[in-house]
Amino acid sequence: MARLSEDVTKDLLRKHGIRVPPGVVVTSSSGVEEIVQSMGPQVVVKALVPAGRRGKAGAVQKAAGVSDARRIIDSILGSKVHGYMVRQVLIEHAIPIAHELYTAFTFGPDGARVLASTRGGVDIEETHLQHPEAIVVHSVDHVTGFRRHQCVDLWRRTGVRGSQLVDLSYFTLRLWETFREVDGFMLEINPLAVDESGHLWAVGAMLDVDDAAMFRHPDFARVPVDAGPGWREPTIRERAVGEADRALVGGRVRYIELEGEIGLFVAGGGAGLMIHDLLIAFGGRPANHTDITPGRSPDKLSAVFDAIFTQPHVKSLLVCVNYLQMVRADVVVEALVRSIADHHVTTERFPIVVRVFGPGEGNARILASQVPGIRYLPHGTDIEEAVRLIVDLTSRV
Amino acid sequence: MDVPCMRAYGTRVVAGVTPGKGGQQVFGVPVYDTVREALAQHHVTASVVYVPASAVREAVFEAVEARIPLILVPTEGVPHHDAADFVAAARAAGVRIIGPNCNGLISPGECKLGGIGGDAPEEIYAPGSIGIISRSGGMSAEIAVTLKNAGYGVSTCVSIGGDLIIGTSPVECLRLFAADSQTQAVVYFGEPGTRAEQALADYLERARYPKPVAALISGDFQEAYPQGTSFGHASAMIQENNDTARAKRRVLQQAGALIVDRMSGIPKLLSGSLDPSCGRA
Repeated sequence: MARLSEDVTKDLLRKHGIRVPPGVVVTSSSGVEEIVQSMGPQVVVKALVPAGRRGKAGAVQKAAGVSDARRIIDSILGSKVHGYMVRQVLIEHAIPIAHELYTAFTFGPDGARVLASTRGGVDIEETHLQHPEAIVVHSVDHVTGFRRHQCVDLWRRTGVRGSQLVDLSYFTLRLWETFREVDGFMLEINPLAVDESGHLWAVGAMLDVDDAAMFRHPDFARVPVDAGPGWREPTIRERAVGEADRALVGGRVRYIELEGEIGLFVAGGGAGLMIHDLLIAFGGRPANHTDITPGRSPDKLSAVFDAIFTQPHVKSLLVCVNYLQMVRADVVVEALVRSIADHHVTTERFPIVVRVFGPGEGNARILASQVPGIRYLPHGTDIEEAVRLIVDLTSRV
Repeated sequence: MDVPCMRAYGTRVVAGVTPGKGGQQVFGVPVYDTVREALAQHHVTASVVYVPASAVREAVFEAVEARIPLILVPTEGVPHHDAADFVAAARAAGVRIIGPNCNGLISPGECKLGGIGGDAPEEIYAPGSIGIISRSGGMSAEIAVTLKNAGYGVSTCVSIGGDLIIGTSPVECLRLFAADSQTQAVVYFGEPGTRAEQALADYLERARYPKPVAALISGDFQEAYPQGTSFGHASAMIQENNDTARAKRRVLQQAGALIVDRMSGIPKLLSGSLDPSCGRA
């Protein structure tokens, strides 16, 4: 999923007729006087990082006037919020808030869900723990769609009454339309603020768009995708794999760095999880996890091997995919052999174990034999044996 | 590459549909412009949708609206809004979707749908009486090989798909296996994320499930990382404490499933709960 930054999210909401506070993005506190005077004197300063729970981390602060705003901007810029360096801040007009509500759209196994609560402005995770009854959920019927009467019912169940119920139903329906149109995976409005004159505002907004749907949104192509694991900034190598994934056609690759020393080239889900578990159970420490669907071309796969071979603390590599059924084994091995040559890897110092079976395996074995020392396991060797071998070889490096 | 493999395995591929290519023949199979046209000429019981993610939505809707009873969707990277829409439409139409993001369906010795088993299905899947349900297509193959090496065969194996939104849930598969006289035991492979295993456990208890169910759940390592991280399949994102591999094992065990830690434990466990003459290929 690609998380859009709050300013981009709010621009999208504004385009769809949703009321959001006016705001300006800055990268330093210079020139802040003019901005604050045009919006203020009360403004809110928000760190633009792709993470939730910012309030508690001090990344959202109210400022009373220019000098206060400058002080806050200077303290937030360059600091780290949930593992992300703050490079930009959003200065917004402070809406005079009377009530704070909450609404969100997300997906469950049966389709989209709409959440609503009158407890806005706080971490929803905490509300969920302490007052689960305060969050009302509607499961969308994807045949008939999300209807306004369902919006009314949803908010009514949270306890809202009167004309606000009508306003909220229209506001929520417009959010739903936006969510559909931008192929959102998660859209959270927290707080959904009611101002002193009763108007509704999307004061806090977070949007994850479905990266599988980028083909419908060429305008998102410039939106930076977080190539990291989601709890820190991506490393150079993670970024490079992410870029290769976007730029090259066919298949999909993801690469996440971890603390260990055994490089892993696994298909990711399913067997990939099992291999990772086994590696730890046998005393090994993975240097990374991968999530790979090979395509017809080896180029994307080479990008992953390149990342593994250039990671500073990696000592060995296990290429272990389950019985290939839809792609060719020789494509995987071709990518491996190419990357070994590019990075002058010598298997004497850097053990490589390969367990790749399936279509094209004969050719894959011929390709692998060009690199002395690759341990291409005999056809049918089970996964446990492959994992045991790499742990053992790594311990002797 | 799937079509020749399917035909070689005994699947009767009667028609192909590609708009604009009507009237042609591919691998000796007649091609039509629309599903409707193909249905007018042939008796069709299932469809495999080989369409990339950017166009899969319309293709699945075409198959659903034509009321094809079984629609397999191997396509990976299907947008969530599209999957939710076509899965709901299929339910309303009373037809079954398997997938998206799945490897296929195989009844060893009879036929297969999709890429499952690749070009050498007999090497991986031996005929027998164990049912397999797996989120991961690759793991279904690994489990089948482990069973085969221990002398067991497979009645039917369903790769249900690794996405959050899929057409046929593990519970629905278990229900089908309960009614299937060829199946004497079921092996389930699961991952962290989603509440599928809770639903599975509830069903096992409620139905007093008549056949042994062995469950292997991977992804313990994910607990070491922050919630909300997905390392593999989109569905494998831990969002709540009871989404973890460990919690899933616990609820399944309480519901009477046989829990295995490693794949090599599956045949051992089955041999203890099956009639010794059963399940052998």
